[in-house]
Amino acid sequence: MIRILSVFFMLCFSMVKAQNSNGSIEGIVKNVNNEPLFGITIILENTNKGAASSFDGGYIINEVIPGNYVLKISGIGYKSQAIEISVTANITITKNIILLEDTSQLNQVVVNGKSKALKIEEKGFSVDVIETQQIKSQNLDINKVLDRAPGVRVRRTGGIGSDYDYSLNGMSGNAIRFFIDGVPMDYYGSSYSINNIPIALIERIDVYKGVVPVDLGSDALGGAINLVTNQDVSNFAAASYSFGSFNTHQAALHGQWRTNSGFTTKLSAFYTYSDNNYKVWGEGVFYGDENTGRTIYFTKDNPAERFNDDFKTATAKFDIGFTQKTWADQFFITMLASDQKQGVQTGQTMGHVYGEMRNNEQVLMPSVTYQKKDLITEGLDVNVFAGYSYMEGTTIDTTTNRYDWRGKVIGYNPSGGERGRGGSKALYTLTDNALITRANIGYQLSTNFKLGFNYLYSSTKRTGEDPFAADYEIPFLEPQKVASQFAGIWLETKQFDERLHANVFLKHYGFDSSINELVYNTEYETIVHENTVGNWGGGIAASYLLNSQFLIKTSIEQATRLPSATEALGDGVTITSNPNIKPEESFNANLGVVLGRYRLGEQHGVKVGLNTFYRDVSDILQLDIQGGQEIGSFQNIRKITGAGVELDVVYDFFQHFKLNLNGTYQDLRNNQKTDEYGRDNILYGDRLRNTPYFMMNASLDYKTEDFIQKNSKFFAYVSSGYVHEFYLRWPSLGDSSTKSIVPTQLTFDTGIGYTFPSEKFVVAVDVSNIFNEQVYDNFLLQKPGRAIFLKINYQITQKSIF
Amino acid sequence: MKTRNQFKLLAIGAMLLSGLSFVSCSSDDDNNNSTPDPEYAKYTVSAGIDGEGYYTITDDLMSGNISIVGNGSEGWANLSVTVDGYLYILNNTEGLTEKYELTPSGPVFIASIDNGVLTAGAFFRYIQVVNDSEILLLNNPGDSGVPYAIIDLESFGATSYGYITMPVIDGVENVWSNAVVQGSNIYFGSLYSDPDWTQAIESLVTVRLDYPSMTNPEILQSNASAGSTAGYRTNGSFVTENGDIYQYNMTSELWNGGVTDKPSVFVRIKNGNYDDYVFDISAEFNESISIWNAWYAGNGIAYANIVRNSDVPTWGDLLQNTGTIVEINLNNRTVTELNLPKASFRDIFSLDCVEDGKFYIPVSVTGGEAHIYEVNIGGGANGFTQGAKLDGSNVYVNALFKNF
Repeated sequence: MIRILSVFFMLCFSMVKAQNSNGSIEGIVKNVNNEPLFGITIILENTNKGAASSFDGGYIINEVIPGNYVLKISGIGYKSQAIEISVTANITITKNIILLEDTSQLNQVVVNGKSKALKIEEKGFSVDVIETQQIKSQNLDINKVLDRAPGVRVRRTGGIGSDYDYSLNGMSGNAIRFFIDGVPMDYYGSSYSINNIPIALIERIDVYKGVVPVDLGSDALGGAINLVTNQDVSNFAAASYSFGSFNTHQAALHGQWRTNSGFTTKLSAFYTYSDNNYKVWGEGVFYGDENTGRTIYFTKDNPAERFNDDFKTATAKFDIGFTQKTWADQFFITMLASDQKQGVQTGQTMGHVYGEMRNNEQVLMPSVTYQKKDLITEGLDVNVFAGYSYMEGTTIDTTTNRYDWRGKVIGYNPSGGERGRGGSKALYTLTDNALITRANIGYQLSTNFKLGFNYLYSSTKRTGEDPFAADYEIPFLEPQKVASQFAGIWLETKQFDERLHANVFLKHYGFDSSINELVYNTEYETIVHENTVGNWGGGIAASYLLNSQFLIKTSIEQATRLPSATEALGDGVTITSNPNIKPEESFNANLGVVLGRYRLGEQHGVKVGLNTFYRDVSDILQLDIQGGQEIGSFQNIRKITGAGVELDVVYDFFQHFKLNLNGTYQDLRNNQKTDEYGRDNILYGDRLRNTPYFMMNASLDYKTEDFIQKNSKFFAYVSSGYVHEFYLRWPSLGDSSTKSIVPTQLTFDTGIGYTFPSEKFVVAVDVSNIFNEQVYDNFLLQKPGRAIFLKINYQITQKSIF
Repeated sequence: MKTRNQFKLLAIGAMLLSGLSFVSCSSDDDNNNSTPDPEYAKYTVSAGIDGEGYYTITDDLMSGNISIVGNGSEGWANLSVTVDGYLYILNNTEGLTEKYELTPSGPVFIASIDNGVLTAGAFFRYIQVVNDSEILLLNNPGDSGVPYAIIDLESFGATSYGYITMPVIDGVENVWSNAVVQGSNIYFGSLYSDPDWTQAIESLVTVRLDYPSMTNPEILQSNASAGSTAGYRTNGSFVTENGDIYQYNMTSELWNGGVTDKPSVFVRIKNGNYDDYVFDISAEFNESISIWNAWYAGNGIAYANIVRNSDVPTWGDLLQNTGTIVEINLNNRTVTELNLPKASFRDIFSLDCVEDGKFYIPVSVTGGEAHIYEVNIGGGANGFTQGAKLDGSNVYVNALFKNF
């Protein structure tokens, strides 16, 4: 259909240009997979003529004086081509072009015109598609890459392996769901998570905001991030190793081997270690004089060094199965194993420093995947996944020592433990046994209609063990269980020569739980509560291509998020269960346009994306601390409403440079008229606390070829991120001069990459936080200063991975 | 590059701002010990809302509005005291004891003490003024004993700190305590109970030590009732003008000790020991009641938050309109229930506002309005006047005290 559309456009153009005596050149630019490419530059050498390919890959150069020319075709991420061409008067020459990927071009996070991005964008969802091909050689983690995308904010509590929180258009926490190849990542554990997976193992990242398609079957109320791994069946092997500041070492190994019989094995493995011993100073970073107790603060000139923040994680994922067989496109049996160990340096702020507390986690997860297109009948596509996850997490907080920021033992607390007031020892081992199954079925009803169905079932049984457990923790030690079901059906259509894409969907969410509650009469008793909740949701996503440079899209959804295992069952340490817990609900709407790429002069072009959004969320789960108990439970007591806008501009020039600017402003407000006790809420209408509301990113990339050596590639970039300061607490309360703020954050990163002529070696150097700024994502939780990393990538065999 | 330069300028600006904030947090500037002017900051009103704390200064409790909306300082001041215009706050978020000077433009940070270096664990639950030159920090007993610190106000430094080992009574340990200083002794109202805090011993207990040495512990016991004499948010003991110490006990089934069959009483410590004074408050009511907080107003009169136990089957019910204020004449042994609106008084941590024969108390009606009330001490059931309007019950006033 794209081809028909392109021909239609070309015919239109042909009709116009046929009225003069000059010739024209037109055609469609595609990749090797026959997918049209957008934003490719086509220049007629030694003239001022040129064009850029449109959404359908089509291009046209009019008013060409008859003669012989060289057509030069180039695009970021593709190998340039030069084609000789002869133009005749009053004749339109059709020249279709196939471009080969240039895998050595680096660090283009958002590459316009990639076919996958275009296809997903055209479905109408508010989505950013990030192709990772060009950034794999750099020492960038996925969090950093996504943090530079419009509407996305990633907040981290510290260095490598630290806690993270994603915000998509203002929705954050558990409202954001993470997937890998469409499978929810909740059950893979902390190691094989978006926090740790090397970007080298990921091909593409889809970021859905607010409205999530059914085939990502889950309860993603605020949005979803889907990591897509390599789906190619060719053989390859690649390795990378990087080291740098804070004694950080990262290694990744990635490969695939397939025989002619279709027997296929895959391996993805990575290892990360860091001391995370970066410098901190200022508020919260102090020690007390032993005689008087007076605080002495560390300063930038005399900073403290983090000393209990080491992080180590290792994961191996091995697949064995068959590909491209008549009975299966893919069939894999997979085993994933991971181990993670880390120190815990601080409490909620740097005001409380820990010297020995640690968290460990091990995960073992076998699974089975089956994919087949045109199963039984043409147009019937099936994708099935089933997995079992065993996760064991341990909190080790048994020391009786107390530390300050000098790393020195300052006292002895026989109650033990460094957490909380007064402390109490904990050696809590939480064990989750989880089952997850998913079936995704699509059927092409006709040329213009496709029907899909997705079903997801997951269950988690949680038990705990702690030799130091207090009586009130008993319910955590006995088995509890939550199970959730998701069923969704969607209908997709393309109309008006594929100008209109629409996807309407209906979702059903089910939640079953068996939750322990502690009751005290004459002694503590555990009461088991059974709870079943069901919810319906649905929505529509649509886009309309007004012309080749103007796409308008909208999506609307009434969404539900089911409680997580921790929200429902507690964590065994400080969070108790809630037998009456309910799902969160939200009405989400997006409206946006994509303009361009507009050609500006001969070698300049610009593309603009503008998106607006609205959110109305109720029954938001909040951790409610119970008076005097120093423990809490999640309660459905919050309501939020608000809107925002995000702008994304990509400007390319001279084929070597690319400038990307994006910004997001959001205004989300407290929509809770009365509090949990029925009292009028003076915070009604207040802007959300502890939530960034204005962010900008900028990046400038440069690439060139034949640098120092012929056939080599050189790449350089500088990027910056800006987050405007925001209040930690409710903005309307208190004099603004006395309020705690998370300060404005402005950081600059830079890096270079060099691909040797053989294309087997890529060496990259990255510097983050160039100016060594003191930066915070969270109140009094300082992030690392300047860090330098060197990364070596080696492609062992065949397909280029890095 | 222009964009980058602008960013850089912004960055420098941000750094300067953050640098200034660190300067303001400097801990070594407390040389200004001149007494602040009391005119503009007679009272401190502290409030909590949605897990956040704010406090504001006012010179008028009886008219207009007292609001934290766009006004006052951010931070918890429910655990705080003032001495001569200086405000001392227990900042348990960062494990600090902070000193502020009260100025026309609001409190100005002077210095802080790291509680963690004084007692491992960095947490004190109680702060009180011992005299014009020192304050006392305390917490409940832990495995090391009762953590304490005596802070000299002139130097703003700890002069004594550590742990007090509480005596054991027949194998039963002290699990909760709070103290008052009287003369050269300190008296710890206490709860002696099993480790689950569910079965208190069959008497009222106070532990007396020498002060400030915190030595020579002596156990004082009264058989007038049982349960905790330590208090909850506020101190369970107070010292009257003649040096006598009065105590009440907690008997609610929502609290610890399992003494719901015992009466709520006031008892007295005189000349270093319990005497035979017992005022049975429960006997003044025809239904089961419990005391949650009490404040001494002078001249033998105390005000107490009484809750009828049938009104509060659950912990959350204490935040509904289940509390009433009674005036207790300790000398005449009378109880007068004031006709103030019923409200929640559970979370008033500090209430030390008596002036010119008036006792001031915040009343926040759940679902209704909130005001400061001026109570004529000894004025009877209707001897009160509605004062300044507060933000509402959603904003809970957890402390009110005179600054001078």
